[in-house]
Amino acid sequence: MFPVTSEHRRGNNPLTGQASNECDPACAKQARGDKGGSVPDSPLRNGAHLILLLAALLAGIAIFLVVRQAVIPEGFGLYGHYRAGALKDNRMKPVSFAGREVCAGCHFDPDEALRAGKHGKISCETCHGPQSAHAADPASGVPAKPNAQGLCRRCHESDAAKPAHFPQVASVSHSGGAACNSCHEPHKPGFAKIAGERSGKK
Amino acid sequence: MKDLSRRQLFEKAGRFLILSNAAAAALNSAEPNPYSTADHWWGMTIDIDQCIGCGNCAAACQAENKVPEEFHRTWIERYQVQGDDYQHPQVESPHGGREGFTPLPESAAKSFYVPKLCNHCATSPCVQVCPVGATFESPDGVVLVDESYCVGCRYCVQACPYGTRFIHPEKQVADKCTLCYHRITQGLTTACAEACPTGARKLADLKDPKDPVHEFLRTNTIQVLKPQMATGSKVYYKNLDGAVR
Repeated sequence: MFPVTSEHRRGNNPLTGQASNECDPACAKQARGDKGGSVPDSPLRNGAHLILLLAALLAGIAIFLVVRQAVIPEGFGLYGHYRAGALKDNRMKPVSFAGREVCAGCHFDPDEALRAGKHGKISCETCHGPQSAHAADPASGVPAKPNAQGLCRRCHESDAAKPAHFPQVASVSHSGGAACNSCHEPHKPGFAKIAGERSGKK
Repeated sequence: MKDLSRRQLFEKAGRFLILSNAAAAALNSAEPNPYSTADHWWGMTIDIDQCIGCGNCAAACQAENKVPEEFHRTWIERYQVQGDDYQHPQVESPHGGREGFTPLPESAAKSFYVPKLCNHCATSPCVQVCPVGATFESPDGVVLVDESYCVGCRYCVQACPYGTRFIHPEKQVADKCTLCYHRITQGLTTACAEACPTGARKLADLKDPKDPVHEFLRTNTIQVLKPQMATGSKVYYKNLDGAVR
């Protein structure tokens, strides 16, 4: 690479010393003007180009705004970078578990009995399953009775991973596979059904 | 009606106005305490010492939210740590614990149950990566999905450090725990907390000064999952073992 000299800037070839055909823009313009160019330079002609450019820009912005309006859903960005209506959509899902208060609104006695005993803090639907359909229309059907055998074991079968303070039994050695609710009353655990024999011990 | 004098007309118009105002007021008062997102900041507390691994929470979540088979918005893991090798715990979660666990015989291993769900992080990695704004942190602190806007790109599924997201097999959009947003915004607790027989899981409103969560956090040994990731998790575990990942 050789250094740029004043020869280069003038468009002369420093090696040959001859003027090259190429020259800088100012010189080219001058050359065209000297040779009697048909279109004279006018400020209006350049202005027309600018107006065209501006119109294209404005049209672009307009198209962008129209497309943006069409594509971005209603309420987007109201609370954050999401559609505000999505909050309502999530709230509108149906409820399956009615909640204990709703159950206790009709079934006073079992609720009262349950509250008095060791199972007092357990919600009705923990054992009886989701009952909002029954709560909305009690005539629609009576909830099926849960299978006491499997249900009790699910919580109370001995398991080393369960916390030691939690009451557990090995059902096979405890009852030989007899149904739990033949001795125990699930709403009032203890020995309610054989109270005469054993309640004194507990 | 034809001979209505001006006086009668004013009387009738006045009655109409008063009655219509009363009707409007009655309609407005139909919702006595309209839910305000500004008044709540939801989270959950989980007491490891109370969890018996019954699986009621996972089953209730499925029933409440119509969660497809073999997918879980919440699940229970059973950990077994052999000796002092807490870095390599054995973890199992058959069907997410929905049907309970096979009882574990007594052994030398340390074992315990850990319920898991979306941690409703205050600075959620899943929200940060969503390219379309279909998943978001609600003003009351619940990470939700806009099903009608999600494009199913799976970025969020990959970004969640807790593995709590999945693509719904039929809807083909991201699906996750909503902290039962449809329940908690009308004064109910979550389905999992409703079904938990021991009270191991409890919904917590951190903005409610009367919520027992404050006492719970103040008086117990509390940990969140993966605290090193600074996700701002709002699921607080009591007595969580160091082996839990």
